Amino acid sequence: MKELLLLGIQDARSGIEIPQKEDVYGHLKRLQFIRSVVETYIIL
Amino acid sequence: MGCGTGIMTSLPLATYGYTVHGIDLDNASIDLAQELAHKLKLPNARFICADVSTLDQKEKFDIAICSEVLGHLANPELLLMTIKSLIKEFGILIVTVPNGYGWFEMEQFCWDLLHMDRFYSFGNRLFGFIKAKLGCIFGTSNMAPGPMIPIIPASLSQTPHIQRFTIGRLQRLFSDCGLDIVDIRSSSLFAGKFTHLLFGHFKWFVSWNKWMADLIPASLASGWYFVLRNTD
Repeated sequence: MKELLLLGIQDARSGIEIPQKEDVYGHLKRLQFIRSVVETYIIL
Repeated sequence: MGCGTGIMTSLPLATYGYTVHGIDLDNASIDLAQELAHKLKLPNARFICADVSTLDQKEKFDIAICSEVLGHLANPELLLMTIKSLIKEFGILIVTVPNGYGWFEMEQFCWDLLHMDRFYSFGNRLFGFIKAKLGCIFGTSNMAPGPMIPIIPASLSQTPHIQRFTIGRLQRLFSDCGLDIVDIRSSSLFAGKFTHLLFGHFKWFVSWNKWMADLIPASLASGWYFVLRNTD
């Protein structure tokens, strides 16, 4: 599952933009899940 | 833990503003991760090539992430116990694991059996061509072939899955390690290289596939996401 990641990462401006394209593996869903858990348990 | 090139989780989390420490045994992957963090101007993303068990970490972490790693290990319990020692009391461990008897593993078995890696470049172009033609016929514009080769690989090391997990086995494993399950989610119904080639270009399929995973019994999903809490 690891070798078919289609998420790209770009330095689109002075900041960062990560274009996220969902695929059949649910890579974006996983990242969103991880982010939601992190946001729940950590306050920036 | 097992962050690879950081592209899957560590770098995206760093862009959201979190301080991320990525650890992996593969030197080449860590080198690329460090290069990406530098290019993306993310000083809050730090990458170390190390064995987690030898890590001399005085400060404990709030959250540890072990994504698509356990299936590659001969002794997953050892890693879980090590991670547990690195997170705070009531700290969180996020684990994502493929279903060892799910659709993804079945497709991968067939793919390897047919030595499809030899043909995949040709197959990708062929399927892409067919879909583009179908797109012309049916008037859909977003059916052009997409890349099967990743833009940036998740890891530069090639290690096969040597563990076949079921939900029950994982639950026992986590329980044995003193980790309480807080939440479980399923990833997708179908996954694999054939599915990617045949249906990966169809947005409706990708959305449906993701949506279905939340409706079907977890044992039928291609993979799972766990939120675990260190209660010791």
